[in-house]
Amino acid sequence: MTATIENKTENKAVPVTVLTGYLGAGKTTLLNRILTYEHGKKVAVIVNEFGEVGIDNQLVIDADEEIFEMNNGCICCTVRGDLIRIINNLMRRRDKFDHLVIETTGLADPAPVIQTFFVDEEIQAQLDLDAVVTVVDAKHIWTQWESDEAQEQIAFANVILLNKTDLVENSQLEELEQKIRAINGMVQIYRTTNAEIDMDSVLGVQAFNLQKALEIEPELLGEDTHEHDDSIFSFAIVEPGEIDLEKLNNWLTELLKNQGQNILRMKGILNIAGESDRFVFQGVHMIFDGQPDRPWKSEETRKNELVFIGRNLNEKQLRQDFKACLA
Amino acid sequence: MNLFTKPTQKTDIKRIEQVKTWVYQILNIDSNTAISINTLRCHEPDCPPEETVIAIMTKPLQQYKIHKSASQITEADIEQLLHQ
Repeated sequence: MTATIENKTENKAVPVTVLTGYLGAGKTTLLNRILTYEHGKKVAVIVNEFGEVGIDNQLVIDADEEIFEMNNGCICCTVRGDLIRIINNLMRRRDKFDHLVIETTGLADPAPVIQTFFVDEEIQAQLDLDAVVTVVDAKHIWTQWESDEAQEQIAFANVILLNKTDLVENSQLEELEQKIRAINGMVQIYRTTNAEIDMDSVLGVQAFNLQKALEIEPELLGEDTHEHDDSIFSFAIVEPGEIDLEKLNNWLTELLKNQGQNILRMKGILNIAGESDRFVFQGVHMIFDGQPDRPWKSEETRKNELVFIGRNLNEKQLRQDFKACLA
Repeated sequence: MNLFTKPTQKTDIKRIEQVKTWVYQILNIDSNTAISINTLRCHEPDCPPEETVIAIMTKPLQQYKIHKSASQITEADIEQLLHQ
């Protein structure tokens, strides 16, 4: 079973930044920068370790991670109950803030946080998931690399701050960026020290806006199946030609049903046979969200571009299966 | 069901608020308790195409399911939950 979600149309939805990062990476330093920087935004913050935020802000709220499964028998969709409670209360003070930042614990899986914004009807209507920002400790990530949480936080990131870059050699940074891009070929990486970053790079990113261009790392765009060092990796499928909608629907339905737990994220643009508009979609685990986009322009080449980020996915098989959906 | 077919009825936030009001009143839920209304769309042949999961955020959490979209839920549907 899979689930689709509605896109919100409310104009004044509150943008939400999810801040993740392994223990000690510099999340709180970034959070304090967001709270002190003169960006003109009134920021409400949901934190997991109350004592560490050094700012006196009446809208800093402590959360205790509480995950529950939205269970209807065959769908598996985990959400964060604590966030639903807090946001429910916070929205009664809607006039007090215009941006929400959610700091997760160093060991948190970002998926339930993201899925909360995809399935709760009121949250969908009132808030807009802006981006997942992950802070990575450039010096210590090497010893944390085998942790599932560290890799998941990288996999779900739209923006990564490669932090503490002053503590490592440039060659190590290059290698680390390559490893990160192998996991997540869609992420924007910034090198930082003390989490110093232009606020426009982390706030107002609109990474979950389906209309935004699909940005794929050029290295991912080859047709060949790649070797992967880690169990979580990303790859892109780029195919010219038109897609048979029925075949694609059958394939994706089965894929999400059987592999949804291993598909962390997916995103793409499709050229569907008989349609003049592009079809854009994104997904998190079993949740699928798609809609027709703008018409194809006469000067652009119609093609299908999909990116998968997942755990132990059979890249070769997925490429073959997608090709079989061509009209 | 089709992943590429959007639901015929768009969820109206006012409708969600109405459903929540009924839940508070009929199930006698404390007004300080959050309620989460979630529509799940299923694509399996044997499952209802749309299902609303009503999560009452008490500890432990209580979940109710209605086999229709949130926008189609009536007061009578919530009253039925009393008998679940």
